[in-house]
Amino acid sequence: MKQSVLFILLFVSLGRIAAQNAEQCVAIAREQMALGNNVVARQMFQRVLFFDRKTYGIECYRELAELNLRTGNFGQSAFYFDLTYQNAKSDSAKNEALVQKAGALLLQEKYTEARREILLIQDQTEEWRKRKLLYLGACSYGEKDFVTSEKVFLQIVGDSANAQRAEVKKHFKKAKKINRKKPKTAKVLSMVLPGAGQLYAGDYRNALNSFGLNALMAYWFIYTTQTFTLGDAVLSTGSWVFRYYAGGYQRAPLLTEEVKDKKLKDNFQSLLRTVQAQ
Amino acid sequence: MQLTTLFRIVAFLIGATAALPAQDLFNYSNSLQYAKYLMRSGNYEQAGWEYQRLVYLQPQNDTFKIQLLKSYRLGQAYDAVEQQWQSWRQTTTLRPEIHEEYAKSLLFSGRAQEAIVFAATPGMLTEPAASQMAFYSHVLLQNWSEAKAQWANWPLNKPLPGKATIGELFQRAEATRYKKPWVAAGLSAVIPGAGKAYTKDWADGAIALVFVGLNSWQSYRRFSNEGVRSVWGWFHGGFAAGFYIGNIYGAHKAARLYNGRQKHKLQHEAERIIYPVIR
Amino acid sequence: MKFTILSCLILSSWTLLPAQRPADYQLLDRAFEQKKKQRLTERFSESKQNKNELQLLLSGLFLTYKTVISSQDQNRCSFTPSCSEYGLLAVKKMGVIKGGISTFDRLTRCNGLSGKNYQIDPQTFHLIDHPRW
Repeated sequence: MKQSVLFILLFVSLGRIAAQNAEQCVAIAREQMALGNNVVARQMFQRVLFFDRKTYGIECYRELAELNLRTGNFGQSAFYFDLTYQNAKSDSAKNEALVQKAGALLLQEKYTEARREILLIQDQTEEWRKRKLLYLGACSYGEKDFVTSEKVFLQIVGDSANAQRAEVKKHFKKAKKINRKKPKTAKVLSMVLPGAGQLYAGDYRNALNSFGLNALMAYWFIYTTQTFTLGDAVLSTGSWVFRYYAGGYQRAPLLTEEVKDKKLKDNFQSLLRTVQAQ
Repeated sequence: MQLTTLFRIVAFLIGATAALPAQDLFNYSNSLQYAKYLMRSGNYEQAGWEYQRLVYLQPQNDTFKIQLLKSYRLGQAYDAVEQQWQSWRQTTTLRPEIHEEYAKSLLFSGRAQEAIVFAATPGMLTEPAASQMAFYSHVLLQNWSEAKAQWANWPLNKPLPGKATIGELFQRAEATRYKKPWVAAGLSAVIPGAGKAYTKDWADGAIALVFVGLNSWQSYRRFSNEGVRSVWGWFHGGFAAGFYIGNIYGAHKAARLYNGRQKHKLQHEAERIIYPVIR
Repeated sequence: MKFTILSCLILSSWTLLPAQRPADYQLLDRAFEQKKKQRLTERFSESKQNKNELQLLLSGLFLTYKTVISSQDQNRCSFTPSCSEYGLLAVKKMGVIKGGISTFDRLTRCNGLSGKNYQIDPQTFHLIDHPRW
């Protein structure tokens, strides 16, 4: 009897150790991923997918998505989270995959696509309702739809927390104010007075830089006109004057967008801290 | 039958069934299946690793050796082909097919000159592979006279797909005209920009003419107005000289680049014809 | 009694530890993060590793030009590396005379009309033209 048990144990363990089956491959791949050997881990997962997609598909998809997220391949990550979602069995697993995919899309600043995923979340439980709202609010904020986003965040905070409601409202007031700046206005302002558009955008260094450079060019032009002739000035300095004048009003709208983007992101992070403090 | 024997048989069956689903993903048949899939899907790097294992599992199987070299070559790991082939050559005698795979790698990695020498080395390639490799190398190296001579007595068992195209290639090679760098430079020395016009870079030549012309004119005016001590006169003069010399050099370089582009076009055409044949 | 107080204290101190942000908040924080700005010497790595005083001076002038002047102009150079970068690289690679001559030639080629002669950089859509004699 004892011998027989030993026999069984021996065969079972032989089956597990001598051969590297799919389950062991997944375990090894996970280990490699934890060690940071992403290339090896990726190849292991792909191998398992080739041989046993049925049993280990969902695990491999999830891990590959995680791996791509870590290495900054957000597009690939979203692709694998989508496969995870398609293969998930339970509602909560499906929801989790959707959130992850939306996250990968948000990291690429694809807010509308992310929202499409979030809307698929089944929010039967209170926890999922809250998480769905949080992501919806973030997507709307990214799309610069501050009215919707504000409503969503107020819903998250709840009716009773008055101090926090005020904080949320303050943040959205600020966001709307930042968003009011128009690139076109900056362009026109810089056409009228070099540097003015940059000042309007809130980029003081470039405002001073553009103004100073254009002033120098203007001085050079006028000096040449007075010392020689207008023709001389146009010939020798004209192209330079135009180069920096045009550069100023071409760059002002881009700078406006840049500064706006930066300020809006800062504002959102501050908003997140407020909401989380709940 | 004794009870213990029965128990042993039962135990064996249970153990065996437990071991069965635990299929080894790295065994011979699975490696082969995966390697073939990886080759088909163009993942040559990983396919190479599979064939390495297969070569290790069945050292006597030459097909795997050829496939291993091929996976390296298609994955553009030409150094790996070189190292692997050298190490095999030192330990065993290789079949001509393996040498042929190495020769292909030479052609793909732009070492056609070495491929010619290799094809002529006795004991490496057999006919007609040796003559074929030599012909391909001459075409890729644009040794047109040699290539034509070999093409004249081509019927070497394996015809090239689309015989007409190689004839067209020879015609194109004959029709290609090259620019002489020193003529371009000389033209630019006489009239700024003319050398660039000669190499068909009209816009660059025109701009050079305008830059040299405007700067010399400004310099002349400043010097005639203010005398030799005019700072702006020297400034514009310096720029005029710079653009003038720069353009002479530029015309020389433009002719060289023009010739390079013509060669490159022919090269592209040659590779388009040759590479699919030896793939 | 002493033990109870001590254990209460230890237990309560756990709440003072900074709470880990929930995963959702961490992810959203990352999604709305500022892009890190590259340092000037990182962006224009050709300004590093100067072999002599002349190269140091040229690199300094180049960086000043990039920050104060080139940052304000129309972005019109059709090449990568741009003409100023080409100038610095050429002088570093081939010396003042050869580098200067090829830079003058480059300036006349920077006209946006002979694009067919160059390969295009897929990232910036500029024409690729590295200095070489």
